[in-house]
Amino acid sequence: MLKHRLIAVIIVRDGQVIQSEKFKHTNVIHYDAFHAVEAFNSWSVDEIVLLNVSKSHSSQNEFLEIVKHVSKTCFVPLTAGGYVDSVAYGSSLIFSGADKLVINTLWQSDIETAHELSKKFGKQCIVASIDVKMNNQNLKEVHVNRGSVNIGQNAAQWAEFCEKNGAGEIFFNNIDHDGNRKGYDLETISKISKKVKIPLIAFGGVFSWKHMLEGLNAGADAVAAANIFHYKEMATKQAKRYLLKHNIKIRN
Amino acid sequence: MGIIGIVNYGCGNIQSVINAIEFLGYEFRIIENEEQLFSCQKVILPGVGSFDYAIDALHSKGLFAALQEWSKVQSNQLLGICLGMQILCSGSDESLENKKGLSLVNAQVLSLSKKVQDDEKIPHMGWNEIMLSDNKVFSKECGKHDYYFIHSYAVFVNNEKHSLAKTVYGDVLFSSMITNGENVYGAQFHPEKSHDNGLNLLKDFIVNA
Repeated sequence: MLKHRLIAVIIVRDGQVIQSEKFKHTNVIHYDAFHAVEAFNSWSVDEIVLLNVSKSHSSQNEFLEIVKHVSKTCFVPLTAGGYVDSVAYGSSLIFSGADKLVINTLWQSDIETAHELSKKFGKQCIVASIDVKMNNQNLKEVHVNRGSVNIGQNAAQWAEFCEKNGAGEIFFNNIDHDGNRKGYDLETISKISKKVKIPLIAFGGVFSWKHMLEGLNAGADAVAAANIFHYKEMATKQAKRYLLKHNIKIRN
Repeated sequence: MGIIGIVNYGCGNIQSVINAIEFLGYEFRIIENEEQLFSCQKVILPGVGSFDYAIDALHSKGLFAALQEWSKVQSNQLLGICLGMQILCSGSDESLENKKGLSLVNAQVLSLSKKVQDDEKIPHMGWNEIMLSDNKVFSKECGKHDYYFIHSYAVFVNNEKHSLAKTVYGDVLFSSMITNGENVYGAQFHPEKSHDNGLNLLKDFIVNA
């Protein structure tokens, strides 16, 4: 039987692992992403997502080096993204050792390139990252470009659009929940999961293992977290123990 | 043990397989043509992408016929991974032009979306169990763990003796490992991305096959 996945997200800014809160970067957790990946790999997390959130586009090459370095000892699937703006750069990430690509802004700015990457590496290789944020009319709308540009779209419909255009998986975050310790945006997770047929990863806001259970019950196929895993020893093992105890099928 | 050959025919990322072989401490050689293929006795055929693209790529490098010839030598041992396992079969639903596979194992590749119930997601993505049959290469221990799968097409054998392991997704039972009964093996999942247990399974191929 297929298991749910527990995913560790590593947020990288200028080569350092940082903590994110509502997409603001509060503090440095590790000075070197390599050690974070090594720890998660040995704690038997099911997948690792590496996100480049640096302020500048010129961070592309440095990030490529990080992917190259960490993939040497990463024996679980490694997903990488941030500034994937061309087929050439997406391909470089793959050939540097990433198994899947995270694509966010491209779905809005250059759908052709997103398409092409999906055709080149297969849908299963393309993860559509979708970030929502509440606007001043209390509507949750999709934001791109590291949360800075509101494109006025509803998350479930946007997820369906990405699915139609070559995404094989959805990675969902709510910026208002990000690093905010109140759990996932369950309402939107439930809406997306009813709209698309591809797997859905929930991210943003986990402060207890119970939040993960809630995410899975709301319809997510996989649950992801960042900050919490860095601050607890053997955190991914604890999370799995909790989920197993609550009858969630997850790899031991 | 000799040198482990890793076939590079431009189908996705072979870096993960290289990383795993290096981590296990074996020497490897990248194979891009017939001559390099015949210089190795143990070869891994990785592959991510589409069936047609892979078949065309093998043909254009002269590796299609070469792999068929090379496999006739009993002392040569081949392991196909993911799409690399699917192209060992006779043909695939995925092929738009009805291209022939290597036909080293008598099996067909069928679309999972036609087989599973509507509420099951495609691709079959994530960690799943395998039911491993007794065999001389992969230890019983390998059958006790989960492996990482990511695929939308699955292998169905024509003769059960060619199925080495089975996996269930939804209510579909497919072959997650296959063999020609002699020197050709395939794994639908990614041992190079299945943590310690995947590395052990690769090691079993390298040491026992």
